[in-house]
Amino acid sequence: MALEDYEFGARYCSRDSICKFIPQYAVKDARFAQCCPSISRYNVHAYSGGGRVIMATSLLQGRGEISEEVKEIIYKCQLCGACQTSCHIVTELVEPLEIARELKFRCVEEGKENQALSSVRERLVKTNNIFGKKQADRGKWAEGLKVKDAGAEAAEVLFFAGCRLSYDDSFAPVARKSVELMSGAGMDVGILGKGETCCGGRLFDMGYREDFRKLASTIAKKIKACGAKRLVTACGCCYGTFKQFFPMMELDLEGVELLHISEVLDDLMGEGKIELKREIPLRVTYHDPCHLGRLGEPYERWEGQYVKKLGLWVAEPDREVRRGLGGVFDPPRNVIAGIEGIKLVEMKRKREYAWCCGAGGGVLEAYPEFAAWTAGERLQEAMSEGCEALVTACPWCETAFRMAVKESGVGELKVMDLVDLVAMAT
Amino acid sequence: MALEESSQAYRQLREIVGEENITTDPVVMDTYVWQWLGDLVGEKGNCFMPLRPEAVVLPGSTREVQRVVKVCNRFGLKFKAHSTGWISYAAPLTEGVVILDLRRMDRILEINTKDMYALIEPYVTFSQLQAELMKVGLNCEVNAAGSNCSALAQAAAGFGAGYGNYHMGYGAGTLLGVEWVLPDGEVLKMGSLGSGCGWITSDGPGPSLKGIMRGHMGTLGGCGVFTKCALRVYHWPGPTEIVCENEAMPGYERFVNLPDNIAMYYLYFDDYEKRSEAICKVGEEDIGYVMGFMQRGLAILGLADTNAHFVDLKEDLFDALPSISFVVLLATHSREELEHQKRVLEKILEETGGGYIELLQQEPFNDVITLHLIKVGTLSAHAVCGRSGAFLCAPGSNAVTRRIAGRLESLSIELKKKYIEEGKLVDDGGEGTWGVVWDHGHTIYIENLVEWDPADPESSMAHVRLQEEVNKETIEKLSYLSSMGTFVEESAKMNPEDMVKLKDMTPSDLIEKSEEMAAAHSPYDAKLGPLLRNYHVWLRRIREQLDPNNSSDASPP
Repeated sequence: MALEDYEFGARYCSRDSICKFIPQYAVKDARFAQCCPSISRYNVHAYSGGGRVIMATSLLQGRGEISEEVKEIIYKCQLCGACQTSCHIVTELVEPLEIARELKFRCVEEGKENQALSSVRERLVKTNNIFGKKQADRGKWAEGLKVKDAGAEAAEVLFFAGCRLSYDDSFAPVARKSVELMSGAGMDVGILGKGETCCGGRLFDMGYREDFRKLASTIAKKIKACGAKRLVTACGCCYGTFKQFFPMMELDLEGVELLHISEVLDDLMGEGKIELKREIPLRVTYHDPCHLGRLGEPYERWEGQYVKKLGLWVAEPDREVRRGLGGVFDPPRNVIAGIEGIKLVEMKRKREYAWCCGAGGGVLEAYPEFAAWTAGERLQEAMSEGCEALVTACPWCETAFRMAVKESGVGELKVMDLVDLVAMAT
Repeated sequence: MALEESSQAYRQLREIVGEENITTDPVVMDTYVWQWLGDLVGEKGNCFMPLRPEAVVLPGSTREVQRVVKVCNRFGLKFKAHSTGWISYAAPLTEGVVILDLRRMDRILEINTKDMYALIEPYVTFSQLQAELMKVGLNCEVNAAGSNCSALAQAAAGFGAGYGNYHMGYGAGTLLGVEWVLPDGEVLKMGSLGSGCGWITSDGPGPSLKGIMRGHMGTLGGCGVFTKCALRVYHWPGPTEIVCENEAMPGYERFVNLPDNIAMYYLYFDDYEKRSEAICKVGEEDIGYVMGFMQRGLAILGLADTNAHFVDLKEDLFDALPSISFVVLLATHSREELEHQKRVLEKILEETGGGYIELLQQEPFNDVITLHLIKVGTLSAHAVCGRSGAFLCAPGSNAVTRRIAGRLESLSIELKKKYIEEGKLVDDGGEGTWGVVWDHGHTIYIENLVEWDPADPESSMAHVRLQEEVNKETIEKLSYLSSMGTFVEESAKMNPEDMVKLKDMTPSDLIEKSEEMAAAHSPYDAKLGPLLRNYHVWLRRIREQLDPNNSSDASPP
């Protein structure tokens, strides 16, 4: 796809500003009614989903160029997709999220890329991980762990750690406990270890479509070659990449069932295969990671056309309107609610209209202050519900929240991974 | 032309609002130029309005607004303020305009439960305000355009109607104290506020300025900036929080535990006279909380999830639904009171030969319609703007008597069908009228909605031609004119020759002369003004007093 492919739908943006807010029926509090971090932080209309659609139209009609200011706006977007959920309640023709992403692709194509992200891309392409660390160290998190090397021997389940769990020592326990919980429940688990590479999702959302294609093709081949029937990850971003970006770019993982660890834990707990021994007296809330939640819904390529019927543009064949409803929402909640002593309370912005953690789209790397501000907003929301802990299911979200806790001093709010919570209860 | 960054004006504006809150970039400013209805006045098939602003600024306080306005006066610039900015006149209509985007002024400053008012800034939306009010058992009138719109803008500067008008009065009627930055930059505190008596009324000691400030339609951002206002709020007998599921799936929203003191009734009648009688009786009996009507074509547009779904649903539902109807929501203090109101309603139906539209009383429609009546949400936008990209009310849309409402509703159907058959307008079966009841049935506000494809110039023009035809028919058959929202009082006394002259002033003329009109507004005023007690002369005089430097970018009346 190219920006031009979205021009047709862009003409139907009515500039209603609905993309700035969570679904109107879901507004239960004035303070937490916004859905888009970008417009909420920077306010100028161009920062909103609709504003990006209009900017794209302006550029396509040759009314202006990608100036420094326009470029800054394009990159100050996590591509969290909240705008699209709200927009698609009203119209099905406009694609604000895809346009926002295409604008990043266009910047790269025109050599107007963000410098900070250019450096990230360089080291990622060179080392196959976002931190620029050694490939040989990728599997260190699993040292001493009884787990199969899926590159060498067949395993039914392939656990994909991703960059953050592989290289950030503070997250190594999440990866280890994920494997232990699955193995302990009798699952046949393997890992790629030092043979694993980045899923490429970050490249895609930073505007490097072709680099993503190359990297993702490589890992897709490795995953298929190992013969595992199920691919499990504890990273929301990796999950979203496999679930959406791979089919978007026609990368094939056919025959491999993709699962997030929360889905696996939900099943195992339901089957009584994980024994929870400890009570955890804690008032917690759950943060839906964007790429596991609204962006974790299945993606089906649509190749059709719009025809006029009764004066309206109708998709033929039928096309699913993407509102993020098919993401992974219930399994993590079931897991939390299944732990004795825990009181799970919902935040005002939840599920498909959850507020973003701030880390996505290259924002964490290029604009850490904006990422921290976004995460801080979420922490405030959790605090407003009187929570003692915020649980999430993506190490990137947790990273952003940890940063914000440190910088904004929101008190004693704990930030935890879902796997850690389950491990505490076993 | 954008302001040069080296210019004095730019530097002073930047100093006021800060680097982050000013832009002169053409692509960024285009996001303020693209507007709904832009296809009617700009390049055909395109929603970019003809003119870009000089700059866009985002002030964060009354003081900053005041300073920005003074800079505009000082440097011969014009200015225009907007909140969510969702219509063509939110864009500049003349050269040399600085747009004030009031997004940073978004606080609910006070909810006074004793004196029953809410004090708000311009970017507070209806949904935000309503959510906070419901927490304390209160409610506000919500503009049917959508709960995503600014509550202040409707009351102080614009126009809009909503289902709550039945019980809570119409938008401008709820306006109390106002803080108004005049076009010369001075701050006027209007109503009781000006006498240091708080925000409780728009009429302070001495004559009221409310009529001068906003008239009937409001000045649409064209006469100073309203920076704070208080709105009258009302009792809400429902829950403190409306909990529902599937909020992101139009047509599939479901309540979770809606209390049994709230119920929706969709009613049909054999003719408009009977409906008028029923509306009158409902008001007289003082039952009902909100009330309105949607013709079946429009209702189906709103109830369908997607355009493809609309095609199917129209086939299934259109003939199954009665053409003449209205909907009422009963929200009472107890289950017993609800039963009482329902018995009264049944008696009224007995007397008027009406009945319940059972199909809409059931799932999957009941919750969707009830939720829309309580919160409005985005269903209106989904039904009209979201489907085709553009809509407008045909002439004949305004506040009228109950009897005229029925005649207007039926009048546009056949005229519209011709364009529908040509495939130029959205096929709602010709039945796209929407309306609400004001002040317990005293008046009806009606909009004959037309949806078209803004990217298709032929479709845009079909809408324009329909406007002309409905206008002509309205004048000839009903001795009534409601072009661009202007209601002619005592129309029977008017000289018919003068009315016929109005045919010269067609919407397509307006479009052709849009630049000229935008510059001076004179073609419209000169022809229509004399027929309407020279309102334009009075408006000009008021304007000269309030805006000595002609700094506001005034919209057409």
